[in-house]
Amino acid sequence: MSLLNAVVQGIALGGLYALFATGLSLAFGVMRFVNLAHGDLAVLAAYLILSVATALGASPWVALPIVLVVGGAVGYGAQTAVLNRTLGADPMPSILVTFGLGVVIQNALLEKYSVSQQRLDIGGLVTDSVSVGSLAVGTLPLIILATAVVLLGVLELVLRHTRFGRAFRATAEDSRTAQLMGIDDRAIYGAAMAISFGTVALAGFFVGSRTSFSPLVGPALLLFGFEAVVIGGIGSLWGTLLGGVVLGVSQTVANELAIGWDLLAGHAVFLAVLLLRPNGLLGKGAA
Amino acid sequence: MSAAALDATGLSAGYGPFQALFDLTLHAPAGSRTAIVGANGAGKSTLLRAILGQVTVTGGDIAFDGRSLRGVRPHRRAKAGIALVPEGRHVFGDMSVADNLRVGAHLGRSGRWDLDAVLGAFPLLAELLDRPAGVLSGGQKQALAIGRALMANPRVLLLDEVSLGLAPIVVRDLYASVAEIAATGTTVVVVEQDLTQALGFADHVHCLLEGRIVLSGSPDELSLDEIRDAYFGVRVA
Repeated sequence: MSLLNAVVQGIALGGLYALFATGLSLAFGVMRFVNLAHGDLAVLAAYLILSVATALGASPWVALPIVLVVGGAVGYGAQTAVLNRTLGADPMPSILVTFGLGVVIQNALLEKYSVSQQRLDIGGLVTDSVSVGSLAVGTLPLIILATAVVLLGVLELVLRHTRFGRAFRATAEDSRTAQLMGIDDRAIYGAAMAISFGTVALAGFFVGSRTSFSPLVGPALLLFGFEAVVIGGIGSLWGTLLGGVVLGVSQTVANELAIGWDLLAGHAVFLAVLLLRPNGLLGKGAA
Repeated sequence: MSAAALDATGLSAGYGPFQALFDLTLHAPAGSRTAIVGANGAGKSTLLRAILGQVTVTGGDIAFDGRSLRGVRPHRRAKAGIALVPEGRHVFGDMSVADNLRVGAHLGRSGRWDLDAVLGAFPLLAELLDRPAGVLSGGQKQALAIGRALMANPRVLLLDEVSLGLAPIVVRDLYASVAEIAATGTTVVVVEQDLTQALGFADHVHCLLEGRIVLSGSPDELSLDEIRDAYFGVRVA
């Protein structure tokens, strides 16, 4: 029964990984942009939510929408003003720029907030649980999972069925030909980064409410995010959810079987998928 | 939507250090049918990409409907009413045929071309609407690429090597459709390696050799021998 519990916890944890990885997946899918600062952006968002909540004397729930909107706007601005210049056949400029950005964010956070652990206080939700049969499942993990599923579902619908979504997919497949249809690829990239920054801020909120965080935890998050994207298959949003869940379940089940083996097991599963299905579980070209 | 004229004046263009067009001047009046012929590497595709702003123009200018396109980004040129059917078709293979056509209508330019009109011109697409474009045959992809360009209701339609790799009967059907499109008043410029198709379609032919126009005229004025010589760079004695 505790194994079943571990699986359920793992699925919920997978929702968090998926939420975090969505932005990575989108940015890479549409413009082959590798964002090494993605984890640090999540941590930055958590700190911003903390500061805004403190300044307003309100709950982090109130600060969340503010930081989401600001994050989206900053994402659009950063992409159109700076990051578009790093795009090209060579992925190295984007990797170097975002690596540097990550270092800058980490050090700025250290300077402002010190190394001490922080936490977003969202009240009793953190300890609440729902009984499912004989299992007690945490309310917050369930909310996170539901948020991830709804968010990915909405994104998928938008990409499938709207004018913007078609322009997005056309640009992802062949930006030069998309231009011929009158699509401004740079604006599409800006929108992709707005969604990426917005979703990573949401992920940062949940990371910060679920566990404590400090300025240097970003890179570890980034690793999980990349693993979720690769396990699920690059270019597939549902794949990213599946990848997050596979990673989460691997970690919690391994920890149940042998305490402390969770991270190693997660990496092992990631490597196994890379060996056996290099295109990921739902990726294009998967057998 | 009325047709528009396209004028290139003293155009030089290329890719990085490689220059592909040299001081090229070409006028395509509104409603005309122009064919540009020439061997591989003569600069035909570069000229079309230059008109769309997708290669670096190093000298001269291109005017659309009398206005200079200098500094205008490619998607804005499409918005002005220039459509290119690129060499190699470049359909969006992961998307359905219907979605490819809808992307063509991204700008929402109004005119006589909508989904029904395009399916009327290319009936073979009607039963393929839900298929991913990537699985279509060459001829079907070419029809889709032309249909997608028409969905934008362009004032100038540029077609790059539409006959390449297609069976003669498919080419004949495609050109029949293109002639109908031209008859609606759209300015059409085709780049073509197949001389017979080019001469049969156009009211004006330009022969391109090594990035320069070496021969121009109406199909009636030019003999096939003259064009062949220009095509291969053989000097007429």
